[in-house]
Amino acid sequence: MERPRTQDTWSCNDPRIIALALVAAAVMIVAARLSRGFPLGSPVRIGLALVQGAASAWVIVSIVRGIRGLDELQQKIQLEALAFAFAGTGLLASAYGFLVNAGLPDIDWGTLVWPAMTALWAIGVLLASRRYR
Amino acid sequence: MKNQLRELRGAREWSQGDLAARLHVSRQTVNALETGKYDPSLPLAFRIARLFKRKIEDIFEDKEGGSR
Repeated sequence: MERPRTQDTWSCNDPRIIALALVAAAVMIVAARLSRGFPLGSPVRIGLALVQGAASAWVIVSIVRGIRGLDELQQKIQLEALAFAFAGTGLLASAYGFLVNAGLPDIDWGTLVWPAMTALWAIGVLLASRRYR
Repeated sequence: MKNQLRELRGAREWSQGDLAARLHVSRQTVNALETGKYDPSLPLAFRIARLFKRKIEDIFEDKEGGSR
């Protein structure tokens, strides 16, 4: 028997997503701030880094579980949006790499990749959803 | 794919939300099905057929096989 699916529309302004993102961001920011008071390599600093990693993992697991609960069309939209975000982020990073070689200032992609991918994911959801209206 | 979903739903005076709840899908999916923007998977097509007590081919028009 097919597992019943929820009727949730996982839009980018879903309160649960916003709450999840805010809590995860708060945990990471607080952990980062607290870790500054401890020397590099100290157990506390390593522990706080692990807390940040756990917050990131929690976000990823929640997203995957959320997508599994969607109906077939919503999953299709999410697939298209994630493909758009993945390819778009890669393209942005590659394109800016060429510009850096041409003399533009280098930027820290390690910090920017998640916000860029999240923004492109949101845009991807909007674009994919419009195809089915 | 053209279908009779809107007519069948209207005959029962269900909203798109009512039909979505009965099929365990989102209202967006019901709207996409009715407008022909999205074709259901086989399990969903069977659920629709069971719900309306019709055959799948009586609800969904197979263009290649010709209309009924």
